[in-house]
Amino acid sequence: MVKKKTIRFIKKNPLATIGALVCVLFLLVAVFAPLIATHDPLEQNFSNRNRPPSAVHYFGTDNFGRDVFSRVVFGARISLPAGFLVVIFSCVFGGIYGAVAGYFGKTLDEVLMRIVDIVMSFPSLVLAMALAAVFGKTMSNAILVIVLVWWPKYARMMRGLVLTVRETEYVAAAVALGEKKSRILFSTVIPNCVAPLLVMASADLGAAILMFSGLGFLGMGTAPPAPEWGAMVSDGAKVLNYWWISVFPGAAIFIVSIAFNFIGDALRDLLDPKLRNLE
Amino acid sequence: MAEKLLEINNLRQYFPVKGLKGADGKPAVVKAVDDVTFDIYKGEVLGLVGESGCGKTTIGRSILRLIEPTDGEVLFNGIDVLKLKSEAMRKLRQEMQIVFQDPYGCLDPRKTVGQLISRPLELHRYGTKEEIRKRTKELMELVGLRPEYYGRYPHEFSGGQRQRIGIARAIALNPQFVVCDEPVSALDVSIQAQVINLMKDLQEKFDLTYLFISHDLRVVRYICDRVIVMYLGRIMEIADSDELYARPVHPYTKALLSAIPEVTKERRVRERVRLQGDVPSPINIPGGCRFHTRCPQCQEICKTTEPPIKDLGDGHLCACHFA
Repeated sequence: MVKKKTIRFIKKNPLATIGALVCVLFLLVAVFAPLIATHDPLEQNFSNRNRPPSAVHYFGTDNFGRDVFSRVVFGARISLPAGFLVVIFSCVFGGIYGAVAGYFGKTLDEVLMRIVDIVMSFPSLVLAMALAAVFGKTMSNAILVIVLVWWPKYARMMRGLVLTVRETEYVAAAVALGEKKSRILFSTVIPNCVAPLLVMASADLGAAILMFSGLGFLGMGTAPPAPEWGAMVSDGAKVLNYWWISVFPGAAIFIVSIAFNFIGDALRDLLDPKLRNLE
Repeated sequence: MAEKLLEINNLRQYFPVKGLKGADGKPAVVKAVDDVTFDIYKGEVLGLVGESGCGKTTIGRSILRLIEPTDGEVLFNGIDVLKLKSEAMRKLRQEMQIVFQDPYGCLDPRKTVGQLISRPLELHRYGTKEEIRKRTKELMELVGLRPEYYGRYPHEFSGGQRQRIGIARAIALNPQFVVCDEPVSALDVSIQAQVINLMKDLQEKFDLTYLFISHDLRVVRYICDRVIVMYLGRIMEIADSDELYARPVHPYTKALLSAIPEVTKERRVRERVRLQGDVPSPINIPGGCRFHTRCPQCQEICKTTEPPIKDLGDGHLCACHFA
């Protein structure tokens, strides 16, 4: 019974299945990185620099003679959690912020949304770089910085959703029953707005990882020896003859981003209660 | 005469229209409900009829403060509902409930039937979890839903069943007063009868008082004890149901009643009062009697003077110069 359902799901959503498999694969890689990696990702070997992919170094070696394969594997331990944290924090903060603005409306809404406008009026990468420069280069700062430039779009989206939901009759019904405003917001309004937000969040996971890597590429993310994908692409870009140094971490970024996008699409269908519970 | 449950005095509900100026240069307002006064007696079914946009629904919602009225008084057992602080208001809501027009829109799609019906019980501390669950199932049976449907979601039900869920939720706390906001107009005719009968049964069984808003005059005739006829935010005529249908006084009421399609044995051609034109905009209500632009009996006085509401005896009120 369960198997049949699974098979049907796969047939209906081939892309989502691929996306999910790829994500699981990368998560496993992140968890079991020490077992999978063939070398120490930080170990330098100057007599063995810039070697092309081979049986010993699957993805070749970089400028310092470090094993690119092992670095890509350990990179999953940085990029995936970073992406998740960015999206979770932005989504929760931006979501509640936007919901409060949309639900209570009036002056509060005006004030809150003007703040959003101010943040959004800066190019996000530039703002992130500026903030990163102020806070200093650590992984947690990089995450914080991206959250700071990202939450406004969740706030805006949530506000728009709340504006439509709060006018529905089932919200009027809740008022008529004597529910408190705060309870209506959290138990009726937000649950009915959350699906599109989650879809956006899962599709954004890829972009978050991309942005995190972008900061890394620009030297604003993690500090140098750490095997961060964006930083690795940046290293390789300086020595274009040795394509493998950039291509493999770049491919990792690309594959993970696109896999999360596929999942985001499928999530939208799954989270619609009208489609759930149908035989 | 029976005891008054609700007194509605000079209720006004104006909505400002953004970016539009009226003739006097002030911002324009839609006068959805314009100085309406009436009483609702304990245990009666009071009909509220009128064309679309005449303010029927707005009255229902203003009384329950789902929208805050601009002005006026709503006395529920002598307490002015409009002056209550939010905490007291939420308590009072147990006594005043509403059944909505749209059975598809009034149920939270993310909650199960059980959650929907048990929520008012939980909210107003009906009892322990077990008691609430038991009561919820009783309610479901009472409105004709199988208790096995407890865990189902609203989208799994038909319009009629959804309306039953809405009714169960409204009567869960044994309210004294229920606003029925066109409860059957969104349903198929065959289902309408079932739901109407259910509402009538519940009303008799629990001695409920209904404000029954509708534009279907046949339904109103069937279920209501008294009827209020509204036009453009104001009351035109109030009378007992039988009286109103037998002896309508206001020309607008006559026009409405003559519009009811009828099946008769003889091929009698009924005298049909046809109204000319459309309802005027509630932003720009005609001076004098607001019905004069369409009234077949319009005289000079109607264009200049707003008719007062006259008492014709036996609770029959009518706002017409010629009543």
